[in-house]
Amino acid sequence: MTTQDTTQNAPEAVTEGTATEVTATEGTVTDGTATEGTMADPGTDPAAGQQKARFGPVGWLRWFWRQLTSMRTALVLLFLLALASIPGSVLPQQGIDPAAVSQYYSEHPALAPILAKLSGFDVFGAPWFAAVYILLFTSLAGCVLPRAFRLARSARQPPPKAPRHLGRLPQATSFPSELAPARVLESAAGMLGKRRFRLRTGDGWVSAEKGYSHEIGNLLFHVALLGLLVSVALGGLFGYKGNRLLVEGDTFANTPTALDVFHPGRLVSATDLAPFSLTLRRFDATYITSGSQRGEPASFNAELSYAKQYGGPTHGYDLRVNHPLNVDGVQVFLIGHGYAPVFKVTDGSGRVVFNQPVPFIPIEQSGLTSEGVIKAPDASPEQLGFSGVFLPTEYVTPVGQLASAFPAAEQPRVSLVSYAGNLGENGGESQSVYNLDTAQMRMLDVAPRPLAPGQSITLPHGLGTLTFTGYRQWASLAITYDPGQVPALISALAALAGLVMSFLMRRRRIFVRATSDGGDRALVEVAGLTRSDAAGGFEAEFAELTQAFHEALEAGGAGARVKSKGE
Amino acid sequence: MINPALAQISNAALISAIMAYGLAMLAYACDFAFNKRQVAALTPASASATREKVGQAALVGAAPGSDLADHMFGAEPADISQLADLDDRSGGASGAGSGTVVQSRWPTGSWLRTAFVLTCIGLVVHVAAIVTRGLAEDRVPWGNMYEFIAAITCAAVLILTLAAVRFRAYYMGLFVLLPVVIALVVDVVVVYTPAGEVAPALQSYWIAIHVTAMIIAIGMYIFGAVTTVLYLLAARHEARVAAGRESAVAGVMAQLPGSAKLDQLAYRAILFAFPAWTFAVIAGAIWADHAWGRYWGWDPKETWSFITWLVYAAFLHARATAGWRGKRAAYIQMVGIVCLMFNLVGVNIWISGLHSYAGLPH
Amino acid sequence: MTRLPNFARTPKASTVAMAALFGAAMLAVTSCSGGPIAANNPLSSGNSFVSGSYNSQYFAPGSRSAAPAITATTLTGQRFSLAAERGSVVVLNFWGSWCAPCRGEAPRLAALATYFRHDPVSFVGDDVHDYATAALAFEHTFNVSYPSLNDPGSQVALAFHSTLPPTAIPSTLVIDRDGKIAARVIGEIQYNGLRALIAKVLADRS
Repeated sequence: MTTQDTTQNAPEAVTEGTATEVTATEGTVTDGTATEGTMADPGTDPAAGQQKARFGPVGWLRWFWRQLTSMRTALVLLFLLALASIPGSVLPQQGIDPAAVSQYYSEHPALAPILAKLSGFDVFGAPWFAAVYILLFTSLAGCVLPRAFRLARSARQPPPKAPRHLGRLPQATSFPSELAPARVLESAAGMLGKRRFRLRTGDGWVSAEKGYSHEIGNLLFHVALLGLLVSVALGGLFGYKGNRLLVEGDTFANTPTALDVFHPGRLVSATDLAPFSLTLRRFDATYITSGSQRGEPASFNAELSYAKQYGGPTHGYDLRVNHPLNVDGVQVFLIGHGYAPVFKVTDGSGRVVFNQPVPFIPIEQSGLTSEGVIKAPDASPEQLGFSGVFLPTEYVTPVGQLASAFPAAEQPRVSLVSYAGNLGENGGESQSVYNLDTAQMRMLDVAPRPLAPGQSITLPHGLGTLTFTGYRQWASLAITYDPGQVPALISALAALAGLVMSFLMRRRRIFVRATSDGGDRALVEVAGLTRSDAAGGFEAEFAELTQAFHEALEAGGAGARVKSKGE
Repeated sequence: MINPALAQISNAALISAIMAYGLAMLAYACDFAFNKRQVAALTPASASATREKVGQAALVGAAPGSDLADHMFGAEPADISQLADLDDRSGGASGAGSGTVVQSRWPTGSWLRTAFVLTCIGLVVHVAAIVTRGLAEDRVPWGNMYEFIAAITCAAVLILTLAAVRFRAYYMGLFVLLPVVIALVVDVVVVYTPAGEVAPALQSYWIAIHVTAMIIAIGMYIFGAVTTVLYLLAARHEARVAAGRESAVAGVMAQLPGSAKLDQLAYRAILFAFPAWTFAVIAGAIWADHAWGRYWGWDPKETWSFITWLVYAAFLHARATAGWRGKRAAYIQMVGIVCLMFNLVGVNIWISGLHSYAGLPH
Repeated sequence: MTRLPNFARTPKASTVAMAALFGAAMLAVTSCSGGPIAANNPLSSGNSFVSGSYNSQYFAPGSRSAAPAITATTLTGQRFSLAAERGSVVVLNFWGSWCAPCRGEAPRLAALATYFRHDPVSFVGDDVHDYATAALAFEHTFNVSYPSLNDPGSQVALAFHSTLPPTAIPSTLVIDRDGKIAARVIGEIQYNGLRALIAKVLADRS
């Protein structure tokens, strides 16, 4: 980059990108590589038109690179990324809500598989989505890094020479002064130097420049975005996420087999998990009891005790929403809750084959009606299965349906359908604990009535009994570890700082010329130019600066009128 | 504990604010119709003269070597001197004949003064409505859609007032108040939710940080969008006049500064809004990590905030790209405000996710 | 000096270029990502099993890590200490009564316990994420003769966290006579496979 005269040679400077090359060099002019381009100066190479030399592979690569790093491409890619994100918000996503995806499959049986092939249910992991942001970041890097070098170089160079006709600049003023030109320039240099402008003096002029923070901020912003990408990748490689549903009284250890769901990063192995254990002592939920918001949750509290090591000392903690637990860098969050009614199943031979709480999953929020399944595969003579609902505050609707009026367990009832036969587990195929496969079972004929705590169902044919003995609550926890979290935050804040810096600052140049008007007095011209008046105010700064300069000169001489030009 | 008396006061205050804004709009309209200021109606001759001067200034001020005019945030429209103050109400007749204009901060003309005072009264009452609502609920009042719309409209009027005083953009009053009043009427009639508690997930001090930042950014975006619409109309009007055709909006356009100044005002609004929005998204991510265990999960609301951010980033890039300044960039901003509105309203109503706090009956 | 060919100067060309770059980027992403998730880290959704796959590893005597010192209570209330089993090969099987593949392999484990009953081999189960009544009913159904640790909180699995934590249920560890982890099976065991593994570890003399 050369220190060009800024305005004097305007016609030549403007025609740098000539009409004939406008389309190809549109990218080059705006990314400032025009001065290096091999194609930007037909005007200076008259023989070029006659050459039929081929544009070699290196040339093509450079051309591709120029296309990629042009501003227009950045624009297009930004839009593309926005567009690519839309399906991720409209279609259910596998990683966020797998149940909604299954529902989509059942509602759109023909369309769903096609969408799945196109990664419609995993948009943000799709190769086409990745391609867009990879291109965008490559374009960003390819633009930002050269500019950083250019900035470093230009920051070391002195400001350009003052143009001959200062009056043509956007901000310009002139006034006479009693002082000799040399004194005027001295005073100018002194004042501008005190305001931390970088100076260059010449014969009859002073040139000053300031405001590199603008470009520094701009570059900081874009580099910080790159840093953000790296942080996200860090988290994706070395971080992990898991979920676990814990009934009151249960303990879990942070190991892959104890998590209900485990999503490790690509480079995470089982030994990388922090070895803590966690017990849910108690879970309390309170609800609003009156008014228009009756039934809405008021507070959740999970009383935990945890140990950081196998066999280590335990600590207590109250886990609430917005109040997570941090154990050795791993965070534990409270994300859901529900009821786990306790059942005792006695089989046909009189053995108690099942006696434990069973988590039921809420199917609606206003009354927390919950569904669940009980499987007793070791009952004899036949395996037993039960499925039904738990109603915290049971009531019967006018049309005779069972429902729950309030989410707290004020009148807990359980209503179950009983089955006997083959649960289908003995073959070794894995089954979800929340699903009952009744394909090889028959429904038992039991008088339907909701059970209160303590009540039982007696199964026909001597198959056994089920007793609803009580209920507990469960809390579901999210366990996450993300080593990229803090770097991501730092990158994001750095980006914000860069943004603000870039918007507030502007690069500006001030020129002062002092010429002798034949006698003792000097004609002083002051002019200013700003590169990008983003936040406005350069006129004000210029006005204030010339006012101060004028006063400083007057202090050393007689007064003079100021004639302003430009508003 | 909800304080019903304060809640009543809040409701009444909001309705009063609507009425004050409505009266202000009337006064603004009267100002347009009746003001006695001498405004040079744009004739074809003066319009082309203006454009020529602007074109020339382009050579002088903004085009030169690669080291000055290129691809940064905020490459300005050409004639910087012309844009020195945004109060110039002579639709495009530039400084040449203005001579010494006394630049007063405050509006001139009794209708405009009345309108501005009414706007300010409306704003004060509006703020009171929000504050009393917060006191009634004993929490920061951004917990559901009703409160949120009340807040963003308040932010928009606040930005209007600040811009009016700082940039002497009093003419914006009517155009910003129009969508504000419409939104508030819909808010009170359709979206209204009585004062109440907020879900446990929202019981955090982050609501004061993240949602407040969002509200401020949205107020600025709304202001920018309204200004951009005016800019597009003004640009079209100027083109028609320059081509010698009739323009239906000539009367209104005569009351506004030229398209260049509207463009700059809109641009400045986005320059403030974009960092505010960036901060709001970052604050949201920090809160999300605190509450849900991950700072970014592509929840629909998060995704649309990201989309909105990208579109406005594209707008800023467009401003720095030859051939994309002016109208094309303005269209991009229009896309941006649509994305923003979808983010605020559409996602809550049509897409369910972790952010479903609309408080609307399902 | 070379000149850009005419067609390359049109806006359409730059669109084509972008499309080509996009395609290339997509290709790169698809080929780099994907690939099967390492067997170490089963991606699960609602269950922690790895069903159907049989993955066994044998560690040569020089490269074995020491099993942790575990003390626990069995389902019937007895104390158990892994250290006390030194001198015998210990087959530690992680299971639960809720786990269908565990039901599949239970008869084979019981048969193997019988097969090796005259050898210094101890079979021990570790019943995780489970409740005693259902677990005992399971043992009754399959005639399990060896004890199982009552480990609802997965503490035994946790004890292995720095050496070889189980990554699926069921999984089985074979610990040699010096208390070092000699082999591991992830998923349901196969009768012949595990028998050969135990025999090999028995024959090892470090």
